[in-house]
Amino acid sequence: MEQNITNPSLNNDKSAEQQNIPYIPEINNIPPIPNIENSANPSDTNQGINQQASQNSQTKGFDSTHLEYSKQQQQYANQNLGYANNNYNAPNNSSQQQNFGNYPPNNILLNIPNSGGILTLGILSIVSLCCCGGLIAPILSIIALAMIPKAKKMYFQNPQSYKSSSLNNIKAGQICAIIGLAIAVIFWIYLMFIMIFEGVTYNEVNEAINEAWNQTGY
Amino acid sequence: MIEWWKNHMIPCPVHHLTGYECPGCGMQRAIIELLKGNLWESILYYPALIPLIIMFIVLILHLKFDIKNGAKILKFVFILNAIIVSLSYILKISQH
Repeated sequence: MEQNITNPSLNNDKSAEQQNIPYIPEINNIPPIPNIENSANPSDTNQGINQQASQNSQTKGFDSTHLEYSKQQQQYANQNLGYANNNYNAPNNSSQQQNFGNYPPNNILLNIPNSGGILTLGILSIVSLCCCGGLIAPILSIIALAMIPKAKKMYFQNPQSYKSSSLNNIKAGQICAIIGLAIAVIFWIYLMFIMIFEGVTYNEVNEAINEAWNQTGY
Repeated sequence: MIEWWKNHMIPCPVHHLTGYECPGCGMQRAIIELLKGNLWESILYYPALIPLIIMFIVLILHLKFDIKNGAKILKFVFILNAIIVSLSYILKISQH
């Protein structure tokens, strides 16, 4: 009877049924983990399997003959022995990158660039409205709104490698900038209306207007 | 030192050029009262000062240590601040 190596669950073996091997399509292409203590050159222990792996087109770009496993990678690979030990539980890391096979770990999440800047600028827009008058508040909020589309583009190109909290930061910064801009614009329009319709009641501008009026000779 | 600041306050440009007050007029006096220790007077001068300070502190903490739902907290505090600032400004205008 021919044994089905790639899918042992299809065999009518008692041993297969007893073992309850799940169907894992790539189980043949996983190279065995080398022992750092025993061999200085990890490729020595992988010779036979690596030839198969390099011939197989499924291992795209992953050539284990030239790898030197660091201790971190060793630990990670040892943790993932669940694939072969039939203790496979689906990982619950939808926000992180998935690693099928013995690829080196790359689960460091990045912050979206300028996400902190967008948040601070959005919040500073209303703080500056209260500190320096309505002069620089619309400028800060416009700068914040201008940085957002680029940051969102970068996130949606590769959403797996960025933190979700920095996306929330960008959204919050957007709302803060819009509200700050609205309040500042409303205040400016109100000032303009008041100055035009009721006249200015304080010294310098009034004096300038009076002098200009007197020079015309009326 | 606080007395020196009281005598040499930074003038608000909008109030200096026109006679009208901007939404931030009164914040310096409120800070001085807060440094002296009078909470109620500072709230009278500028009611939105303490929420603004809280928002600033939360922003710095959120940027350094990623607080869970920090963005949501900041959104709510910001909207609260905006409401307090605009309401107090409208009240200040309507009193004259």
